[in-house]
Amino acid sequence: MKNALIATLSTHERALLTHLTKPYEALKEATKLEDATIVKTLLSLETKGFLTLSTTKTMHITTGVNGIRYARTGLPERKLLSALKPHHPLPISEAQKASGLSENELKVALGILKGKAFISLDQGAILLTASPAECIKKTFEEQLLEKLPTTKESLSPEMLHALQAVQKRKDIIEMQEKTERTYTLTQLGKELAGTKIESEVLEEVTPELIRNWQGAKQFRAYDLSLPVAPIIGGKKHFVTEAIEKAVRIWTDMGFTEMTGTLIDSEFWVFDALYTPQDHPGREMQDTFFLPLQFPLPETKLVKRVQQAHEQGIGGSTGWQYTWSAKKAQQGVLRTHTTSLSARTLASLDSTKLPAKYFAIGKVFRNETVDWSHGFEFYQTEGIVVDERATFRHLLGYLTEFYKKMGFEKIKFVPSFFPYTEPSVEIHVWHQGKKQWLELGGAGIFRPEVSIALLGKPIPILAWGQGFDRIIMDAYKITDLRDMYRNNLKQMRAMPRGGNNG
Amino acid sequence: MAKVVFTKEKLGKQLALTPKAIEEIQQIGIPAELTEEGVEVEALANRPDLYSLQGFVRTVKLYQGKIKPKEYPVTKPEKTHRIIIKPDVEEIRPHTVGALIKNMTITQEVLETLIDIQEKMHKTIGRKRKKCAIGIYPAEKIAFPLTFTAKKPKEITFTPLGATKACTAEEILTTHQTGKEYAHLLEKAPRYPLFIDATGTILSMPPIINSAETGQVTLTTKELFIECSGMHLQTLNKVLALLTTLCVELGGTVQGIQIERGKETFITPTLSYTKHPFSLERANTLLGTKITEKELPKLCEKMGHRYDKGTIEYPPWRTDIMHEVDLIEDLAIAYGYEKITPEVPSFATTGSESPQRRQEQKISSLLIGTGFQEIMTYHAITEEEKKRYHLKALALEGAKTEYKYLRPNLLIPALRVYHENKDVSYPQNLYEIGTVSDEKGTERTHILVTYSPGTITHIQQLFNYLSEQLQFPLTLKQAPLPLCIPGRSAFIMHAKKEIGYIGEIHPSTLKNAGLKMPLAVLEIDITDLISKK
Repeated sequence: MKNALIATLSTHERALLTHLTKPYEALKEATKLEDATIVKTLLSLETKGFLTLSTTKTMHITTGVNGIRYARTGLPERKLLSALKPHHPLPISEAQKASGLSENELKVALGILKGKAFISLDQGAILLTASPAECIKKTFEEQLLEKLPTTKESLSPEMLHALQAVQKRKDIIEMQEKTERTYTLTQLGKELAGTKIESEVLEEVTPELIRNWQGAKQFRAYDLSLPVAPIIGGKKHFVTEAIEKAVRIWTDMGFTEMTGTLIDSEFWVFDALYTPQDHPGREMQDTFFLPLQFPLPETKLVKRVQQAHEQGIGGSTGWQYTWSAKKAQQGVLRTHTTSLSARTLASLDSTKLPAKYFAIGKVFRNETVDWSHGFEFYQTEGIVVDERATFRHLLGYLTEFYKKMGFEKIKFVPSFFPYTEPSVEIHVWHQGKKQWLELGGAGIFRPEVSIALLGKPIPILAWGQGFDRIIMDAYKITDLRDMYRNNLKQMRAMPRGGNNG
Repeated sequence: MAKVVFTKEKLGKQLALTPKAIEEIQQIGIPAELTEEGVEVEALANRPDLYSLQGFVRTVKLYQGKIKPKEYPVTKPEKTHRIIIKPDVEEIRPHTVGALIKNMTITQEVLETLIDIQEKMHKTIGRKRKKCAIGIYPAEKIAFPLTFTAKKPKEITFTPLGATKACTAEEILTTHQTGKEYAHLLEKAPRYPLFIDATGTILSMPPIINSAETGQVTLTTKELFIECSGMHLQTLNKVLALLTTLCVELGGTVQGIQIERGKETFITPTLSYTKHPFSLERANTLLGTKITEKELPKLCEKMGHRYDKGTIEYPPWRTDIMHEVDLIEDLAIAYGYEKITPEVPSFATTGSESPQRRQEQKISSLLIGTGFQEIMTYHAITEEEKKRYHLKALALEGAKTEYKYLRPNLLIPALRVYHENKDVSYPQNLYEIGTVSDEKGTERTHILVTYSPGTITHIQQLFNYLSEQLQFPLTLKQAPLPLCIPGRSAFIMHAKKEIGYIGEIHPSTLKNAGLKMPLAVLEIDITDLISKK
């Protein structure tokens, strides 16, 4: 035990330990160490239980430049007092000459004597009011100056009062705080102090040390229970981490990633997805409009989309209104990643089926920001184009994905979206909260969407769910704004991979 | 979407309000939740029939099998029951349809129901009265036939609902509360639409307001006249079907109105069931189920439909059916989503992440290895930031938050991050890879790397490291940059083009941004660099 402890001692500690029988003041001489090093080493020995270090701070008072002069000539108030005689008022105009004081000194002297009620001023003349006995007696200030040098701690209350008064005056005294240290050995310290131990131990391993290694030298042992400075490491943002996990799941399930622009035309964000042009979601209340116009894609596709809206396609009645190409050209920030699915489908080689695609990307809604809302968030999107695709497959893909994301219990509830039929809303059971969480929508694209985009009726399974809620849950975030606040303290402390690893 | 609340008091008489019952309602596809007050239902855009308590109860009870689909008979209009549409209304509000409601006792509750549903229809399917406006009148105060016409604003004077004296059209649109709210719908119209009865009395000026004399339904009203006017005939027919079937649920009977436009005449409303061909085979193929034809009639009835050999008849209040797939979904709902078992098909496809993501991950891993923390910032910047740094940026029209422009670079958001973390321990070495946009909407992928505290030398070392490791053929061209210390900044050049910069940020910039530590930055447009890989 003691040997283990000794092994952790640094060279300095070892040097001090052999001299710990001596008083503090003698340590410097004995060890030839700097003051600061001695203090640091003693503190370190204190934490190791060898001694207790006590520190007392004293305020030392010495005579200042003016103090030295006044010690010789007397304080200004004394000089003025000497110039005064009982019952002989001295005009102020003559006082300077009579006392031999400077103008400033006279002002100070007048103030002090008045304060002590030794004099009074009457019609420009100074009148002595103190008794001769009072005049002869030394003032507290004079007594204080005689005591110097001294310490503040040793002064009587009257002297402290005088100190306060003198402190305000220029350079009469000087004050300096001095720290004095003493140490007391503990039981352990007493046992080991002065014992002979190997004085040289090795700290760092240096290239030189390696080169000259002879063996037999002792390394200092480090106490690993002591705290060390934290590392600020390089890390991914936790949102990226969560996205990459989802990307891995989708690619493992055989899906290919789609990418595309955040800015797109209404054609791809709404029209190609059979959302009527007067749908409330297409108003400024919900969507960010941009002062941009985009060209429409190839005419055949546009014609099919127009037909789907105006009179229907593939047996549909359509929305029955006059579709505006101009409205479809309007630039917006995508409100869902389904615009990527629409673009993918429009350029799909339908001879190479089945095709499975996914996307995870930012989407935008013109919302105010609070703990549960933001104007941008992530969505995870997927489509399966397959002649044999069924609604059961849709439920299968989603179940698989959310299971891999860590949700065991999943339920499907009927829902409504303009571009899917049948439509479904995914609810997952939150074990911690003991409640169902709504994650978002899915469905089979309506024929008005699939025929318009592919040119023929092939079932397309599709989904697009908000992803931020899942991230919040995995990383125990309760305020959506924390996702993009980039609180470095919070991000540094977050475990990698959140709660699900 | 808006929420509709049905109070316990009103709903409790008709339906059980247990959590289990609510869960069953959710399985019909109605997003309902049990609250203190009663049941809160999200108003679905495709199902306006659920906006009324009666319609909601009807759907739930049909699903539960407690009621069967019923007929909504419409009796023939009498000879005078006509609305004549004049050509002069064509350009401003071309269509109207109407119906009479008889045998309905107008109680306070009925009156409130009608006003409530009228309001909801206006807001939703009526697109704030633009597409469809509804007028409800006491029929006994009206002399048929009616004319739907348009007159010059100066020629129009009547007492609108809520006023005590006659007003001109102009007064109504400028001083009357409802008038002001909807005045924009008649903006620039040379003539305003009017319903005028056989005596020449103005009944209403759609889509604004009814006359106080002939257009106010009270508890003493015996019969109702309902009209819908607007831009889109199909929508008007849907709204009229929704209103009149609701009146039937409230105990009324429906009588038709003949609409006349020139030589064309037709009678509204039509409340018969609509026949739609239905293939069970297609339904089973799409759903992946094995529902038999024997099960069909009962399943159809649960949704209010009727099945007859390859045909489904759906009720007049289902205004959302456009295609067989809508009926297939109904069948799936009636069958029960919970009974449809998920299945992952066994065919194999090869998945892959996008080349762009792979490239970004490569850069990311290099930076993380060098000790950088990734940040992710909003794609938008504030008005104040745009001004302070004299930036050109694309405006987000009507943005509701202080973030009003798309970010033109990644440095500005990063300065925001540094400001918010100014008291967190240093070093704060950060990076972001993300999309930025210029004021023309061209999107580019940028990478931003920042050292704080950091110097131009740090960032130059990093620049060398990145371009070597990523094999980007980049060079530096020393040049002064606005936010940087003179002599400590450079453009990053690629094929003679400036694609980025490095620099040590000037203390004045740091001070203005509220930062307290030195900052050195690198920002590169990597769009072309990674697309070539």
